[in-house]
Amino acid sequence: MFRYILKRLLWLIPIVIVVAITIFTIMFFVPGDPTSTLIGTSATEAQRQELLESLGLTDPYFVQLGRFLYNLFIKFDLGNSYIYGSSVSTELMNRLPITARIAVICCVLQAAIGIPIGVNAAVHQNSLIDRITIVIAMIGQALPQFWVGLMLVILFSLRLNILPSYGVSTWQGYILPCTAIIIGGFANIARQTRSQMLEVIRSDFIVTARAKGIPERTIRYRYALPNALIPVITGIGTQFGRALGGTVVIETLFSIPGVGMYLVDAISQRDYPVVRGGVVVLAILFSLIVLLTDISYAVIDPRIKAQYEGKGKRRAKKDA
Amino acid sequence: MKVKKLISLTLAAMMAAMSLTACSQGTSSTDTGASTSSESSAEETENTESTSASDASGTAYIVAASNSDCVTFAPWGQQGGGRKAVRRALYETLVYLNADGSVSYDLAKDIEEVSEGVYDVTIYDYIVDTAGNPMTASDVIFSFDKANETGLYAAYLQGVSYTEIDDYTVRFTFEDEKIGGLYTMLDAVYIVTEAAYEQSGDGMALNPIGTTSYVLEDYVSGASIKFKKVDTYWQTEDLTIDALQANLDGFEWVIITEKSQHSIALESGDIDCTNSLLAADYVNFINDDGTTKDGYDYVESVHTGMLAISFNCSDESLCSDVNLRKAIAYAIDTAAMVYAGYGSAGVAADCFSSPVYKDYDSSWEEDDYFAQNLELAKSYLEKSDYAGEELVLLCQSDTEVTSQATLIQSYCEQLGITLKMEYYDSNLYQTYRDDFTYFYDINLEYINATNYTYELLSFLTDYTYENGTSRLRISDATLTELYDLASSAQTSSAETVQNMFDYINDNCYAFAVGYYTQKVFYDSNLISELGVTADYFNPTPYTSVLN
Repeated sequence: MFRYILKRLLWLIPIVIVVAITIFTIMFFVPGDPTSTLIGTSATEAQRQELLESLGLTDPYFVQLGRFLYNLFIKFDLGNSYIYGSSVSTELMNRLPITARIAVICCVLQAAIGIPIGVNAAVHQNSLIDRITIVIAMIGQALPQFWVGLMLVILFSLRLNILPSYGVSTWQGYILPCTAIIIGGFANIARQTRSQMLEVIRSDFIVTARAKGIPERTIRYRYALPNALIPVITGIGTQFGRALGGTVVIETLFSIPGVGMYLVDAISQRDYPVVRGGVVVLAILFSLIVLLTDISYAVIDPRIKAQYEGKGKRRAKKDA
Repeated sequence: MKVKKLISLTLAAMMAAMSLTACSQGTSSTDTGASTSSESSAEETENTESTSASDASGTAYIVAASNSDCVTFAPWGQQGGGRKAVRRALYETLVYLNADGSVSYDLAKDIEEVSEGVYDVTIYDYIVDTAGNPMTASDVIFSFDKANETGLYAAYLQGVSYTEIDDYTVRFTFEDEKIGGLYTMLDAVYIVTEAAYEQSGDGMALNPIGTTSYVLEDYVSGASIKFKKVDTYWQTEDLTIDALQANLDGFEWVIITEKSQHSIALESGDIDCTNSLLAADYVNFINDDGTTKDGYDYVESVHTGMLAISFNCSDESLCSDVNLRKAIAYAIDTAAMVYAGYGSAGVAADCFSSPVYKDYDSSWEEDDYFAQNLELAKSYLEKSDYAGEELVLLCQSDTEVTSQATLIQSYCEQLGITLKMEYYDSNLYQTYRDDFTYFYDINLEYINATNYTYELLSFLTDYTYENGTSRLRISDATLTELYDLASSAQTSSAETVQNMFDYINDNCYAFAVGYYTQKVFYDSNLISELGVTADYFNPTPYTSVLN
């Protein structure tokens, strides 16, 4: 297991290199530059060129790429934002906790709500409970996050005046944006769980368990659910990774100074260090999340754990 | 066993989530030295609704909202994004240009005209910044040099030289003084002490040190900016400018990126004023008869810019034909265009100037200034050589602009002119517009100006393209001459400006479509007089509150 994890961590290096080169190349060839944002439209061409030279943006592609990769992998320096002037890594570290909090809260609550609902719907297939669950799930997935968020603000901030309408400077500020995200997310997990559970509860070993008189609750949650969870965990992991990239719509609506808004603004302003650094950091985080997801498979399903360990043991035996 | 593990994992994750949520905010820019506040960690337990003008301790405090972050606190640079208000809160200029055009001396004690275009500006000899550094003439020179280096003050500083005469006097010499040039320049450049600038370590981007009554208390990028009043203001009470009375003990800018949220935040009391309300939300604060609803009021001003259409007059473009240009101009309904973009806040232009400019003369207004006249448009089209070719319209991809561009397209279609729209985001639009190799026939843009008509029209004679042409892609010596006469401090008059207008209109090089008004709404139960920047757009800490 340890070897498996180590191998996956080593795979991070080429992944990050490829991501870094890709994002650099994309931003290099995207038309536009940051001069209009930095020195305005009244600047002369000479001033613009002078600024581009001072930023190193007139150097050839490979020179700029080499400089970027050297700073990134040797000096671990993501550079300074052209617009803010502040260090990209510092700004990301300031914003990442906010985005991470929202991502963790949403994923945990989505799972905590969605999985039991999905299980319940599966074991009561075609009943009223099941149909209600499906309808709620469909509505939850269909509703745009922006609209849901706005409705929540109107209800809880404007009408009831019990929650703030913007910002996350206090814990109450997290309630509405997380709710807006959870409404769509839990529906997805509930549907996935239901679908997987329907397959598993028809399995022979479940029938056997029932025949042996094992309580239904135990059958559902101890025998059936772990077998149904693998795809669900994959979905949760992917959602978490995406959420770390920042839900731009929710961040815009609730004025959350997260990673998403930071990157989107940087793209439109051609703030190259922020875009490059941000994408590389998110790529690393996403890769780690995928690794954690894979590790969680091993926790849930011992067959997978044996598979991970088996590969290592087979190699050890071979070497011996 | 496995289920137990899963439950343990879930519980552990939930505990991790709870602990992350309960952690202190930790999002202020303390690592870069921006935040000086030890109070930021207390924000977690604050009542989010304690934004009233007087909090429990009786201090006067208001919360204003904007939809964009100032990003930097450096005293020189781009003015947009609320930076004007932020800079005015922290720094001072030599003079203060009031909204009505009058001038108040701020850091300057005296201004003497030595000869034509030469002025001696003497500052007070007891100016001290909030860090205790005294200010002298060398700091004024330093500040102007720094402003010059940004390249953003060319409109004010081009052809201006300045030297130190004595410890507190600086001489400014204009090669070619524009109308209002002196005071506009002195109002534009913020003055800081060189010692403070060096002390900040980051060009005051996140560590500003100014001379006003306010200092930066806390800054969370993308979220909020807090100012607090200090007792170290250098000026005596008798000499304080009315518009810069520091009445508030504290002031907070919150950044609410979604404009529709501003109305909700103001109605729910989360903020006390906002300059970013959507025109569609005005109905929440204004009755049908135009009066304001109880508890709300607003200040209104005309935006200093102008939506304009200009043409590529070079031989490469079909629009080099003046008849085609006029055909397009008279096909367009400018009133409909401003309504499409700005709703009821839009105002169609009567001339290529705006009532908000300090040199505005009502004699320039024309009742039929490029008023839509399809018969006239058709007659010009027949005189032109247009044979059905496709023309290119360049504009930004903002919702307002594209809706206006779509209208232009449909008006041209009525006339039989085929128009293709090419729109881009702001950054890319400016890149293409300023790239001489990028081809377009018609340009639609909102031109920014500040105080005088000539600023609006400078794009017609700023020969910034590589081949020495202006935005019109030509260089016209007559236009340049007329512009110089209209803009010079010695020769500018209603007549010279009219002559310039007549020439532009006769050649239909460009024409003004319109502008919009902006309202800054505030809670009138809390605020008795809202302090705003001279352009009336940005709330400032110089606000009076009700006790």
